[in-house]
Amino acid sequence: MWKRLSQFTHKARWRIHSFALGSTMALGVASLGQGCTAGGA
Amino acid sequence: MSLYPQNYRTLRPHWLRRIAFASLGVVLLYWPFALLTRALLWATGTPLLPDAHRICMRMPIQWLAQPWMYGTMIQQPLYLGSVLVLPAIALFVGPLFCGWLCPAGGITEYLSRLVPTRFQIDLSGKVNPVPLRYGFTGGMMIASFVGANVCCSFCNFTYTQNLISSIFGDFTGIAYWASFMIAGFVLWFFVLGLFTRGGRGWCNFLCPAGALQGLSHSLGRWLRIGRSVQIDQSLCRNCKTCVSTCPTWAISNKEGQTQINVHGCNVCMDCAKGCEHQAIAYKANKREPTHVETTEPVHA
Repeated sequence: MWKRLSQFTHKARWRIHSFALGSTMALGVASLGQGCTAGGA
Repeated sequence: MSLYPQNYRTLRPHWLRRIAFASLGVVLLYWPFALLTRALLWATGTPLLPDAHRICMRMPIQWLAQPWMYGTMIQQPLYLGSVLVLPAIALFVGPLFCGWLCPAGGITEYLSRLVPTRFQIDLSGKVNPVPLRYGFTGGMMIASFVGANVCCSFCNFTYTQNLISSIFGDFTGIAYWASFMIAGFVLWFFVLGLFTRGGRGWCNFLCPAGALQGLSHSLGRWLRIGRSVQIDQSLCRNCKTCVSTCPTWAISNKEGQTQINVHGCNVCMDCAKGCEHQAIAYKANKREPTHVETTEPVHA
């Protein structure tokens, strides 16, 4: 049971950290971007 | 060959088929051909230049967080492609666009096979990129909600269009590249492309269109509708060929069990074609006793 719990928390940590890292990257990229050529934007 | 030393001869005809489809993607979506785009622009009466920007895969996903842009999407239905059409297709048959038609993902994947593996970062079976891709997509939408955007200057679809345009003598796009675009291009084409095993690092970590389709594909799997790539555990011999073959790092082998992460699978079928034991197949999502698949990421 502890092993399963440990695996679960390990996976959850990885997912939460990765999600946060991805979001931070997107916000960083959004602040550095140089405009869009798509119509309507 | 570098990427699949064990089975590249078996896979060669399959790769040629996929390269043919990626070329079809260029003809359908990219200037100067853009046959699909031209047809849709003509059908909707929109007088715009037919290039990769017209069926934008990125901005409409951001616009989902901007209700004031919904009117634009309805007025120009081409923008509904990445938020409605592709996820709807992925719900039933998976992200076939990503695995077969997308030239931006295809170009780095196919060229990466020419790079010796000793120069490549190998993350297959080691890292689950799915949460980061969802995080990037979510962050992109948050950014757009507060007025910023992750736009063409960080889009591999644009880089590919600009490269193809320059091949056909139009250097306008390339001339527009500034430092940020050059950095994005290097990240997409070299770091996460040619020098990453599978050549699809950008797709795996940073593609919002792929994230939306992966989410839809996993929903179809969960609802037991449509089709997906599945492993028959009774036939699997744990040879791990599929783990090293998968360009999206969606397959992992842990504790003697090979599993496919349906959120990351782009239905390219390399694993199925390369499996010597015929343990992998693309089939209807039904619960069968011999199959043990998961929608849970199994890495890390």
